[in-house]
Amino acid sequence: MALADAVLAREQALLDRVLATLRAHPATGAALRSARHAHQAHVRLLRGAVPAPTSATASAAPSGTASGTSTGTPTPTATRTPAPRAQRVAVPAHVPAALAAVAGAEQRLAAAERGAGLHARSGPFARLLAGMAASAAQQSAHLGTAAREGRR
Amino acid sequence: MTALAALQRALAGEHAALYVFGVVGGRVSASRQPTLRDAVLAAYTTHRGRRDRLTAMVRAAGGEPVAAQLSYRLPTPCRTADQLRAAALTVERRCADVYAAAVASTTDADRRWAIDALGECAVRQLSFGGAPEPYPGLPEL
Repeated sequence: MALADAVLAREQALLDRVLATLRAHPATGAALRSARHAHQAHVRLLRGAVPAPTSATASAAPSGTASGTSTGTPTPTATRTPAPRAQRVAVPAHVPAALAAVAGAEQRLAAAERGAGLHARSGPFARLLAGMAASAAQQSAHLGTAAREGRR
Repeated sequence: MTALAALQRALAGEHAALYVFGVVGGRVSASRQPTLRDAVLAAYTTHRGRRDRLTAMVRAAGGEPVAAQLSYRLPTPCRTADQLRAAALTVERRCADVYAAAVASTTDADRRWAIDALGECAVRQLSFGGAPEPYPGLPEL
């Protein structure tokens, strides 16, 4: 499923960007909470649909969950950092610019997922991708507003 | 669901949306809730445009466009500003659901249009007090 692989890679990249922004600017926690939640949910769901590529690190427990119980996976630790192969994300030095950067990335993701939904062969998968695109569009609007309010 | 049935359901949803936004627009105070009033007027215009477009799409698919009902049950009493906002939010959520269903049942240009409509409904929810969700239009997830 090349289409699903590409969607998963894009969702993971955006989640990495959100996590990097949260690390660089803890003050963005409230604004980015729903984006982190949404992309974690998308990555989890897509990983369930896409056969795991190779590594065990790819299935590490989702970071940030409050659960202290082990899920039984042999992963040594569930760290808050993204997978080692994650690309490094440059986070702007100021909070409004950092939020605007995530908003822009959400907008590009929404456009990519709309295109993927159009080309999906199965109707239900197209619907799922359209829902993910709509989620990214919401985040783009939400974070754009937060960035503007931060500049005031 | 066939593509035609999905378009008819979306059209029925837009008829209902226009009814509710007509009521909400008549009751929202321009002086006390100018932001809400602007959002309601913008939503009304958008839904009217989609209704007209869907009417044409149903005809192009060989169907007879479903007619509007005389009246619809309002999702809230629509008396206070909060109730008006909640009614608008409920309508946008319902429209998002039917457009997501239409995405699954259509292809090509009709699907592209349904994908865009779903995204617009999702973003508009924010202007009526909605919070971002992981899966707009997909209530089972």
